Amino acid sequence: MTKYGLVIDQERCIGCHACAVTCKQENNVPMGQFWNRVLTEGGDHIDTPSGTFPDPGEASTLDMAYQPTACQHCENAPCVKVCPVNATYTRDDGIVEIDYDKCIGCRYCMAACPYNARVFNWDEPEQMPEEGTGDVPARPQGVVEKCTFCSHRVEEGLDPACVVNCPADARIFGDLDDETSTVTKYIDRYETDRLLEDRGTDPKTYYISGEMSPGRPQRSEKLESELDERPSASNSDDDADSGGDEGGYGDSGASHSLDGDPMPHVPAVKQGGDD
Amino acid sequence: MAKSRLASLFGGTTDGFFYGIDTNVGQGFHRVAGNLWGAFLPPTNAPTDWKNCRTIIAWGSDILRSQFQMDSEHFLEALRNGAKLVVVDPMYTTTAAKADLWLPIEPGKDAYLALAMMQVVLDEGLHDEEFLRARTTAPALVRTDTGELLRASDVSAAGDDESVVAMNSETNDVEALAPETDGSYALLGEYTVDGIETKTSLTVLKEHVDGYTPEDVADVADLNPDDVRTAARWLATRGPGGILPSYGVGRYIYGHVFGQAYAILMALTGDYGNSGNIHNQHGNLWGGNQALQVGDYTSPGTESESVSASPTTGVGYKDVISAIEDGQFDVIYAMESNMLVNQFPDRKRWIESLKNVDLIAWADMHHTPSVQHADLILPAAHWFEKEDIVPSYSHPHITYRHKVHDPLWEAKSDYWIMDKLAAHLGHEDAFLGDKHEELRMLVDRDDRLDFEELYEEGTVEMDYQTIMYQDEFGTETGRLELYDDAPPVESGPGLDEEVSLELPKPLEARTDDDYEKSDKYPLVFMQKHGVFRIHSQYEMNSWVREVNTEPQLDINPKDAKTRGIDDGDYVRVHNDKGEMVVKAKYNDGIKPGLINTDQGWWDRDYVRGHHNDLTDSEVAEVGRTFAFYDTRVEVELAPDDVDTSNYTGGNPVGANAEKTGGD
Amino acid sequence: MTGPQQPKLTPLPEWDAEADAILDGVEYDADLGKRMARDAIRVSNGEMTDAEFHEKYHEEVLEEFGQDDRPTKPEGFEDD
Repeated sequence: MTKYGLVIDQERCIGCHACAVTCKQENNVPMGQFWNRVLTEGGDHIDTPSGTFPDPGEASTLDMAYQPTACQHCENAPCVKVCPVNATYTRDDGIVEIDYDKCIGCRYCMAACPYNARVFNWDEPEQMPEEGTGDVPARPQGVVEKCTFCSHRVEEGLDPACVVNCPADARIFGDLDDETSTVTKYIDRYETDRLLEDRGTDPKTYYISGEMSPGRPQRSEKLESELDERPSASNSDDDADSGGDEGGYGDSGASHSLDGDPMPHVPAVKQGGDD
Repeated sequence: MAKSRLASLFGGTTDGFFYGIDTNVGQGFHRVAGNLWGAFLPPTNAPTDWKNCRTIIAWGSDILRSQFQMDSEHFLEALRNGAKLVVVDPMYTTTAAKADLWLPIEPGKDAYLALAMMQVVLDEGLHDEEFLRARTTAPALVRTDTGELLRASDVSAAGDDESVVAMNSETNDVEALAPETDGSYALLGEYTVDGIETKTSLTVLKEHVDGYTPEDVADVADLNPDDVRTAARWLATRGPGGILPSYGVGRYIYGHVFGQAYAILMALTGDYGNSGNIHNQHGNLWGGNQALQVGDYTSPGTESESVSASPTTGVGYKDVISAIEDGQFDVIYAMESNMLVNQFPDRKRWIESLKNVDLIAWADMHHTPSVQHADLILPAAHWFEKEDIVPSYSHPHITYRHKVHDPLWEAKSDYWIMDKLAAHLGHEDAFLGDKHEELRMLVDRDDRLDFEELYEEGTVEMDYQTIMYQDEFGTETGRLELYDDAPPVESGPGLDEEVSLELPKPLEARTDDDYEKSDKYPLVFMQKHGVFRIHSQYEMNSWVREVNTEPQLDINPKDAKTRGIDDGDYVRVHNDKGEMVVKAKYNDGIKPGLINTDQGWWDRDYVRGHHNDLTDSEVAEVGRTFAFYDTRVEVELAPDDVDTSNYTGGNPVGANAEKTGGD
Repeated sequence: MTGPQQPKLTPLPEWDAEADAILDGVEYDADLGKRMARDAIRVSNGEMTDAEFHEKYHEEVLEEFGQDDRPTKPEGFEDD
């Protein structure tokens, strides 16, 4: 089976909101709404720490980190259980998705979601620009919407937009059921947490803290524009096939690797993930 | 390029950063290391090499906010590889949050800290003796009587006037110092040569920095002396390392002293020319190879047959203002710039000065505050609406940018506009009239490139140097010059007397507690480069504006509460020059006594006033650079009658703005 | 408008007020939504089984929505 999941390395995350904004663009998210937000763990505002400024010469107690937060794609999703019309459902690949044709706007799912990851189109959605953006049709007024792990991209063998466009390589997407995938390796190797684990929702979004991971391996030959010319990158299960030209500036991502593992990137054996 | 070529047709004046913006710290650094690259921050190893750095001192740089797009992955890779990160900043920034050691320095005290770190390195004997002998003037002898460097001609009739000399401790004789030459030169000590009493330059430096112990400096700069020692030891003993400043320290009027100081500090630790060294936060200007080499295109006359040219005059931004005020310009043609009326300090002075200009024409794709002062507005095409060849300072590639959309409405490309302008000025042949062909002609001038390849590939990687400072330095001696016996003299604001800068001496203007108006205006006002804009760009990016809705004032709750200011209150920030009204944002990460509003906001974003109504356009003798942070203000609750309804009513677009489309 | 600092991860006591706000003015039974949402977390926690959850709300859901297509339906459950 395939079970898609996301690893977010908070040691790498720089709180730039690129994931939040690119999500909005890719998914045609209306003005006033975000499917993906970058929370500051610290003070009450963006980019403010907890603690108080140290007195001269005293040790600092200030602390700040960033926690990008979207739908956690729970295995045990309460939103799915409360939906009376089965509009919110879990796909075979583990992605929690909404059938907007079925959604009647009762918002029970929003009340049930412990992560406040869902938004409701209270008004007629307004896009910027008006004709909309990205590769996903706009949703009507009166339905609930949320992150889909960019399922439309995943189905084409591409990582979600937030993953591809993270300048800190802090987001890694892949198949949690595949023991050779980067996400699985990182979860094994690094200290990870999931949000509100005590609620038993079993989220498929993992947060690394403590030791920094190598992040998402970015290789020039994996860029979307070149996908067509390099079908082997997403169809082959030959790990050795992932190399491009060695040594150039664009290949600097090759330095991102686990010890003894020259290239953590694992070509997807199935559709989607780890591109 | 076309702009410069156009100006050359009639001998126009063009403006530039040099001097005025971003040129402060670099000028101090270049005094020590040689003026290799102009006045900006010094060259640094390519970011791909940063992973080899063992200690990074990010000094007044929030690189993960202000330069993240290309370099954050390299910076993070260094940390992952075990580099120690020290952050020197009066604000607990995103970068500071990832630091092993944060030094929450008092604003304006950076030169003190650099001197204290030198004191630690020399006091504990952590300096790199081999490097100092071979590549610096540390062994060069200084005359005790005159303070001048001993020259070869002082000690030998055959000696020249330029060469500095050192004592060879094996031969007990003096030798002229050649670049890149190791020898048994005495680094420390006093020597009488031909009856002349001398000390080595390093001895003079050591005596100087002994006045800046970590204890002394900790007191001045609100630091912990142990932290100062730790930072110095990490840099000196953990292998190759570097100091990574941005333009922040150069936003204080005497920021160049810090440039001089950290260049010398890194000389003491031998951090030049190795893999793993860092000298600046962006990997820029790698030999200039990433720019097209087009010969005399911008100043035609020798090669070009049909175009006659007149020399243009370059004027640095710091001098542009007085030139405008003096009525030197009848016409200003501006393009793609929002500097004059938004980004320059002392904004009202600039606005007033523009009355002296008969005609102002402005080509821009946005209706910026500056455009609004034009007599003629020329709607320029967006960069996606025209083809072009683009260099970069953050990666070593030349890029061919293809047009993806026709210009909307009446917009025209800048090239089209300049071609027509040239024709009206009687120079029909100045441009080919076809941008594509013009670009082909330019690329044909550059031997390294093939037009078809660049056009098809889109991106071509140019040669670049990964490790900098491997050769002789660009100074008179070819060495890093620790002691300057012909120093510049600084006599600017805040200084009671002239100060000559043989060695770095901490100088301050308004950040100094003794500044005459520090009682009336107790807060230092910084305008950081935020993450949501590149200077004043992306004002109209509606999505980003939903995250970053309006200008805010980072203020420590302690400073706010003593003024009766609650989190989220609108406040009036003011000094003798002007005011701005913004929303207060409690931030425990900003040092009490310091406040911040990110720069780049347009006048229409402010409930009232503007951040650059508070700043001063005064510059220092040596720095010659606008000192945005050298600003003092007071903050109070905004008067009851301010109208904040556009923000409090939930319109994220701007307090004084119509709702507009996206970028 | 979802603020950039939302969502907070809400502790349960505060969740109560938040759920009220979410369901305020809804065209369906807000009280039912809230009770179901709270129990859905209990199901996730293992304090309640899918079957118990399904059974507990089946009648009310049918009455309110005219259908009950929740995936929690246990095998053999009489769907009338």
